[in-house]
Amino acid sequence: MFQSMFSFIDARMAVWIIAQQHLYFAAFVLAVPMFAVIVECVGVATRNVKYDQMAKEFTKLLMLAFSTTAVFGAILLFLLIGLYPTFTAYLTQTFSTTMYLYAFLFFGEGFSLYLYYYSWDWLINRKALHISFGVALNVFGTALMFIANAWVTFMMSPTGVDMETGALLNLREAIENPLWWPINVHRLIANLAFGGSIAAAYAAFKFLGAKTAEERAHYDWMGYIGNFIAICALLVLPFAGYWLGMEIYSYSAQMGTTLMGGALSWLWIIQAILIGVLFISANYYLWIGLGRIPGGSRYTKYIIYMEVLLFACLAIWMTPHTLVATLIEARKIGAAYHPLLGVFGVMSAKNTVVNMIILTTFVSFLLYRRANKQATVRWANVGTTVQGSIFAVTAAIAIYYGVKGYFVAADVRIGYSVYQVLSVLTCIILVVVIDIFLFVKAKTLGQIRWGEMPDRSQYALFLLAITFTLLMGLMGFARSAARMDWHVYGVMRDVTPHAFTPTLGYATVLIFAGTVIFFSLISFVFWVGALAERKADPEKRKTDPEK
Amino acid sequence: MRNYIRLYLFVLLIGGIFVYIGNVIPQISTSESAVVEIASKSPDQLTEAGKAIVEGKGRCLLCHSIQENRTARAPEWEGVGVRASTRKPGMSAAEYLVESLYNPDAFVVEGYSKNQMKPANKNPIGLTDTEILAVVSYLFGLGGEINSQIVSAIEVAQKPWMSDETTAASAPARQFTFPEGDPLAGKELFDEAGCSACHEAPGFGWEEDAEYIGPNLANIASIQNTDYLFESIVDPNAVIVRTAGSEDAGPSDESRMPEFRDLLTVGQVFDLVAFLETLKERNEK
Repeated sequence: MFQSMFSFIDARMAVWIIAQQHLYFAAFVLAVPMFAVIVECVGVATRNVKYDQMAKEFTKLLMLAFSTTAVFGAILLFLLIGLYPTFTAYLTQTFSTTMYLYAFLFFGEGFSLYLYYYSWDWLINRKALHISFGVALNVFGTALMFIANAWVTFMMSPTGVDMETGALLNLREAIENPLWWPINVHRLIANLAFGGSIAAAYAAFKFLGAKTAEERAHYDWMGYIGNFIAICALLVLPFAGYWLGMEIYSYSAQMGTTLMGGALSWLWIIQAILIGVLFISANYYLWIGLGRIPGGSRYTKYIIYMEVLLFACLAIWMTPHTLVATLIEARKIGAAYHPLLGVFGVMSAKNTVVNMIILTTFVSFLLYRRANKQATVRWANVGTTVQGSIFAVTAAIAIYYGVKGYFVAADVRIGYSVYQVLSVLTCIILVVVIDIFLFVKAKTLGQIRWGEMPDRSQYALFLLAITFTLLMGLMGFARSAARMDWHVYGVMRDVTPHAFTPTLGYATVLIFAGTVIFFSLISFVFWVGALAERKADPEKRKTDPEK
Repeated sequence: MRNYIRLYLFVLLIGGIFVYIGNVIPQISTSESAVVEIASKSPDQLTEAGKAIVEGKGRCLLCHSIQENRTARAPEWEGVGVRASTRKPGMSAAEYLVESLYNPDAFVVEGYSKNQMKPANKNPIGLTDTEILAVVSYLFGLGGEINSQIVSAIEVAQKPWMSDETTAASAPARQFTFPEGDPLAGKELFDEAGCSACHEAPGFGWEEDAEYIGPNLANIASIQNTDYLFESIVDPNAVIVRTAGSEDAGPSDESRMPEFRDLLTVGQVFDLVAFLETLKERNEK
């Protein structure tokens, strides 16, 4: 069918592009309500109406995005039925019960979304009730995602079925397959990070087009909040990623090795570059932000050290290890691995530097947070010293287990990442707690001068959103490619001409195309949102003909 | 509109860099798991097919390496054809290698972990029995030698795994322990009973390039176990190994070797087996 319609689009490409758009919009539709409810709650807690307005502004964007998600979902379903009928029939047969539930929850999500948005002004004085609508919207959305995750993860780590015939033995086991919870958690956090980055990009877009200082201040602040939420989620995302990786490896060492050390090994180098860009752009935005905070200059001298550490860690993270090499190449190297890459390219080194990057980014946040504050408590110096010691001990733990990992078996080594993660999380929690008490009744050195940000800072926010989008596409490819030529790993083989795993070059072209399409469509959503704004405020428009 | 163009150009710029990096790195495309055609079971063809499976469908080199590699996830293979006979006491090289593919967790080499490999005959590896035969033949060739005798030995070792009767949990087990024979008496008997007329064995001076009717037994203990040797003596037709010499002697579906069940006493058979079990080349690692 597609051959006759578009000679350059094959079945896999069609499903790939549409599935990617569906996922992008689904992530947006799931993330924005999370973002909106959190922001609305902060607005209620701080009695700051700005938060409430921002939450509403984003919820408005959901209306069109929700329909777009549904349309892409329907197209995806039609494509699967038409192009992969046997596989679709099998999946439908196995998960039919959950599919009915999915449809029901979809109604729930739609209704709660409209209720949440349209009751905003009506329930302005009954915030608890309004927030409960937002919570319901999130519950429905999250449940929908969990159900879809069960189908997707079943394709990777099928359980509850007869592995020879594929017949369903236990639906609950099929749903609760080994990768279900890791993906649920990973996607939940990733969606929040994605939503925050898109919100920040929206703010950046508005900031660059702002005509007044007031608008610039508003969108500067909005961009900061979006970036803050994105980075908070990003800080814990690698931990969820490593958990997912561990579970993949536990389920099938072959799949895990295919994913991490086989034909896909270069993919992780690109992933490292993208995540590196995320961390660098987030840190860069914060460092520039110090310039608009009175007292921020006290900390700019540390930026260079953090920069060097970040880039050194990223260089190690990007170092390839198990690359598929020809025998001639291997002989030239003199061993299966390059002597240098063999040291820096292994998981021990990568786990360690990821934790160091997270710690560095956390330090950036900490400096940003205290930029215009002067602690007044008597134990201020002791508190700061303790915080520094906690950082030092945490870094030492991460490095210790990183080095020790070189001398133990792979299954023991992977367990060390848990110690590293726990130490970093503990560090973050302890330092935040100390920081809160440290800056109680702190002396303020001045208010943040919102809006006084150079334009280039806004491109850091664009970069964050674009990179997140590319990264989502790349990781989607990794997950699918790990199954090699299986629709359902070990149960149903892909026997179509597209069963092979394409090159990474081909994948990046498709991911790029998907990203361009997504940004075109999301720009349209922003534009439609702006139209509604104009219509709602004719008086303002009269006074400002440029708008 | 200017902002839309700016955003769009920025997306194109970042995406363009992404595509550039994606295309300058080595491009690897993996093929689907096609069934490997094995036209005949000659050692050469099996070895060639085994190599193709190891590098392709089996994806063995994801974890194993041919050369020494201290960080590999699974044991390296150089010399495995010879080393295999020493891995598990009482198991020939063929039996050990076959078991390693059908039930990888039955014996795990020190320093490596269990649950790393699925049985090769099950999904997702999903090799056929013939493909496993090819892989084991290829492994034998790594540092050792592969000939039709070894191929036969592998086929014999495969038999218990080819039906559902033998599961991973209940590997084939000997019903009783063979009494120990006298290898010196067996060596004498090897000559007296006429075995050395057709089989080459150390200490029985034959011409170097002569072609024998029977298989070369110089390294038989490395590739076969006691059961096989016992069976070959009392029932030569159970497994017939073709050699160049036997082909020259004319095609036949039956072994040219007499059945010694009626020619030797039970004690003599044990002595002969004890002697054959000493026939190992001394180049094992």
